[in-house]
Amino acid sequence: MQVKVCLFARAREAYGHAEEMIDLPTEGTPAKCFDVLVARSPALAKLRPSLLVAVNEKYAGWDGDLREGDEVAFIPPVSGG
Amino acid sequence: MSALCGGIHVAVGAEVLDMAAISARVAHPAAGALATFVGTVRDHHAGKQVSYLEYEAYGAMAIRMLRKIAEEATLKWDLSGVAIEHRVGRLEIGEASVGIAVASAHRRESFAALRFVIDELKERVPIWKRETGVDGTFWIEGPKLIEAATDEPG
Repeated sequence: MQVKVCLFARAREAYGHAEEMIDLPTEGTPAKCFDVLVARSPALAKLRPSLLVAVNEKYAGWDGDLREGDEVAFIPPVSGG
Repeated sequence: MSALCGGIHVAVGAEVLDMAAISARVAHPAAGALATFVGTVRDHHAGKQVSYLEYEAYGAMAIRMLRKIAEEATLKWDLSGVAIEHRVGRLEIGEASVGIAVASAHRRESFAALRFVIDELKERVPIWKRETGVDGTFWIEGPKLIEAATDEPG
């Protein structure tokens, strides 16, 4: 299945792209999705402990089930204001 | 703009913030207090001189989270209106990055709600800033500064 991945701020910078479509096996999770990104851009790996996950614009866990067409975002510590 | 309507208004965008317009969003006949907060770009951070900031947002989720915070504040303090606008893109020293207005029957609720909204915004809303000064360019991650590459924010 395909999911859309969104990366922001330092994670976007480390990966080199802000958005990407990723192919995952049917039992995909944000954690597995992140592994695919790390395989392409190893610089991302060290950011993982600081990142939060959002699925379809809501904060979510790393191990929840993803569905075809979901939007998965990896969110560095925020600094708005 | 409709007069004295109150309710909830949130926005994230590149336009210069207009505090008079943001305040007018929350004006309401039942309100005896209208409190505003403006966050501005400061020329120093963590002992470093800052030349300018660049803000980046996960726009759709930021809007969703701002609305959620506004709804929580409205319920908790029985507000007649909440308006929150956040800028993105490059901001110069002294420019407003965030503008908040809340209205309630009495001042106590407005002051408390205003503080809640800015504190929650800083905690939960997916917006990031990157600062540039004489020492280089840094991502701000909570209390941390992390040296940035020199690409442009997406």
